[in-house]
Amino acid sequence: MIRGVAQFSFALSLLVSLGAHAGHWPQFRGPTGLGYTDEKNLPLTWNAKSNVNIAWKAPLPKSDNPYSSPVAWADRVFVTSAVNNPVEHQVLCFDKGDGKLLWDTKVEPGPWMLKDLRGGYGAPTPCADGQKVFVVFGSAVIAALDIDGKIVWRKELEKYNFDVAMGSSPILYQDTVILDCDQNSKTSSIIAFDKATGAIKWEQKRPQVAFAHSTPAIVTVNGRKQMLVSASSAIQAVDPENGEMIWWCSAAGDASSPAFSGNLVFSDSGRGGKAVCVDATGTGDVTKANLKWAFPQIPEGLSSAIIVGDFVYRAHNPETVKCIRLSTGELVFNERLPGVSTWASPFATPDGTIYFASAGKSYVIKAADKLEVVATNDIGEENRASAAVSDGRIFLRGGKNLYCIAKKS
Amino acid sequence: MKNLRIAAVAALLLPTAFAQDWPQWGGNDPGRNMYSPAKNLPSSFNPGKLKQGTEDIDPSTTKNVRWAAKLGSQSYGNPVVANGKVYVGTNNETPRDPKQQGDRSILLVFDEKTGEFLWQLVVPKLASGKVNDWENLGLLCAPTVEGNRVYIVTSRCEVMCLDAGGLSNGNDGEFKDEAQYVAGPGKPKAQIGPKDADIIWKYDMMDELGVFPHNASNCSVLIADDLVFACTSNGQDWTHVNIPSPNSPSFIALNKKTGKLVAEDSAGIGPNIYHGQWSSPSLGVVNGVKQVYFGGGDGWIYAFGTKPEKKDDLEVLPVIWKVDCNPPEYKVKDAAHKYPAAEGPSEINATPVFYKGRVYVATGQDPEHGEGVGHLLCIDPTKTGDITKSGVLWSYKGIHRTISTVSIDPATGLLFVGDFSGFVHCLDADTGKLNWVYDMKAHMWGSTFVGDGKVYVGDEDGDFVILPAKKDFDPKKEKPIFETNLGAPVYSTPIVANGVMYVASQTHLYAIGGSATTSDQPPKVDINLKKPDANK
Repeated sequence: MIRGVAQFSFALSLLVSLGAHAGHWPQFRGPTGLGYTDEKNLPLTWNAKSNVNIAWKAPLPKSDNPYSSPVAWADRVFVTSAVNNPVEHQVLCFDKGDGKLLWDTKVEPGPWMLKDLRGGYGAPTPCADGQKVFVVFGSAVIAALDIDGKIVWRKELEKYNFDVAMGSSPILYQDTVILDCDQNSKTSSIIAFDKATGAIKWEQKRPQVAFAHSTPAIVTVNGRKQMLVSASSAIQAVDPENGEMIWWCSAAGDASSPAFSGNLVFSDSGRGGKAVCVDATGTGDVTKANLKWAFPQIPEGLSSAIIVGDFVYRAHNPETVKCIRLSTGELVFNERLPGVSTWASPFATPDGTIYFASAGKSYVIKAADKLEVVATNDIGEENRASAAVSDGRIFLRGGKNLYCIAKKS
Repeated sequence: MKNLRIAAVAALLLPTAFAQDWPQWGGNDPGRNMYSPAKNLPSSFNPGKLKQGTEDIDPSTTKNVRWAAKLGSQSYGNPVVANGKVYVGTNNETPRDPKQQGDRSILLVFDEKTGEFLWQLVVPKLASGKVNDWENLGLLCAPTVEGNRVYIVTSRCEVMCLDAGGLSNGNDGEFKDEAQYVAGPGKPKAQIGPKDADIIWKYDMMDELGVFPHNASNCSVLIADDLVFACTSNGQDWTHVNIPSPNSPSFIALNKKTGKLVAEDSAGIGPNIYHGQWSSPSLGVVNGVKQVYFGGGDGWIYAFGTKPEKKDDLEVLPVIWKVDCNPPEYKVKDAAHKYPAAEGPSEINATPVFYKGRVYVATGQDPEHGEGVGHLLCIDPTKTGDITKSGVLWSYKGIHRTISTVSIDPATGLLFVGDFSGFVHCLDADTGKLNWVYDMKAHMWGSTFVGDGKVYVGDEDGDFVILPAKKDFDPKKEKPIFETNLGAPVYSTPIVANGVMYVASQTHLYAIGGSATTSDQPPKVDINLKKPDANK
């Protein structure tokens, strides 16, 4: 009991010290898991060559698949990195203000050694809660590090029949960190690890779904939390308390995360195919009852959609963006964004500015019923990672460097 | 006597007058140029709407559509039309036989005039799974029809000969166990009937040659003399590093009557395969000698002779010439050019086209690899050996990766080709000069088709456009002749048979345009007008 109190007060002091900073970006696609930020004063333009709005640039270690996105908590930015031969995983922590490397910790690889290296070990984005950073690597290992980079716990996954690579990122829910482990051979499951110890708090086995690589997002529908999971055969709402299914709608899912607004869920697989828009207020199989509309074809693009107002924006191959009316499912426009990353997921600000941002060519557009490009930017270090946004800063992970974009004051 | 001669001429004329079928990939042209000399091809149509609560097109909502048939949910096989029947490959998401449920590859056969379903071939999936036979892709090839025989490559990596009449006229040929074939090895036999396929023979390329098809087998076979030429689809395994059967052939010739192996390629492509092999062959006659063209999984195009030669106890197809289609700058040895990197080298998935004594082909990759740089070449096939340096008349690097085959319009000498980044390119076939580029803003899997002064093409968004086949079209200022959306991705190539255009979306096959009088009746041959000629 005393130990519990001591731990609690320690945690509280950490929260107080780190929590003074607003605008954490604690996980893939930010605090909402949907790509929304509260930031109102973000730079629209940047340029690495002429050093426009580049606050700092920090070199990253060599990585064979530098796909995971940065996350930010308080004054720190966390990045994971992996190499294939020999297999090595590491976690890096940078000072958000000046890009100084604060620590760099190696995590022992897990049991899954890849033969097909197309996806690599470094795709999952970490998550952070101010006390710990939780990291997943494609060797089927999850670990928690404290804010000083010390490994608190490390767990290997028992089943790892993933398709090519692990792609799903861990997400935070109360005292758990949840990992969607949808995979082949009827061994799919969703696992909730105890943040403090790494013990499995619950595991929901789901042999009915095959592999997927998408990251779930937790939303609130009529006061109840739902974890939206884009599974192989359905878009699902899962109770984040125990992994039980709340509702599901037949749809193909794989790579892209769902988008959500006004109790409507938009989902496509990311691998090309039909998209669906589902009313999230139902229970059970809502395929017939709650399917609002289906859009016949979203071409491949592993990034995720974002909803602003009555519009769904979805960038996909071949470097085009579709705008679909959320209320009706009609195509509003399909336009080229030459060079845009169709891997990185966009984020949006409260005033309806959408950033299709990566360390390669980035487009800033205004949410509207026609394509309005506000700015195009190019760091020239094309990579698949999505942006993190925190305290007026945008963090972009290139193939070799981590960039902090901020207005020069 | 005179009358007899007239009758003889008329008899000779009639089959060719009727021979406006599109009996194989490329139609009547073994050079496989995506072109038809037909006139009055559609300038517009309305694909219509679904009958509420069904997947059937409501004919009352269509315009200029003769019929539309429901396919499965994925249809990559290009339609062909021969002797009153339309053939198209698809999957089994809309089963025609309620006893056959689940993932199968399907060849559907329809009546040309009415779209009535006649018979189907049901191909079970390979037990080895998607590494060899990807889920739900369906039958990928376009059949080649010759007389009453239909030649295909199945998704089980078999070359197969079918009876064009199906089982309704009895079980012909040496192969008799269709009921077992349809069910799959080791399963209880299927109940089959007159609406099932009659297999004449089959040649299993995995069993016989040890090839390892990467994800899919798709060749639209070519027939020359008594030989059936087929790509084996040999490729990498699931690791994308290892080629399990590097010594297996990439290209073979079978006896079209018996299905026995006659010869295999002597090109040694296997160890150099980048990924997989999905190019279909074409034929040209150069200085009186037949050449068969094959786009290899190593990025080279090969011209094979059709007369097998003996080499180390094997009957092999001699290489007449070959060209490395990847320019040196695509093959720089660094990470940015390592296959399948966007700036790196590619294999050939398109079909080489032989047109007016030249060969045209472009490079590309598995669509799963996304967009990247491509290369379109025009080759002089009169040379021999490695003619990479000496035999390329012109090449065009403005094209991106493509799996599309070119169409060349004899009326204008214009070459049209789509690419996977979504651009339709118009060049002078003779010089390679670029005239214009039209942006479809979506992937193109199928090919352009040119005829009657128009270019027809569909894309992954389901958009179907008709562009003018003219040199001075300005896509920035002018609109296409017509645009519509078929409601599902278009992964096939439009074709024309007997004045009617056929195009398949993933879910439906449309027969567009034409008129009952021109297509249902034999063309009128005015004997009197032919008299002077006939008397010569």
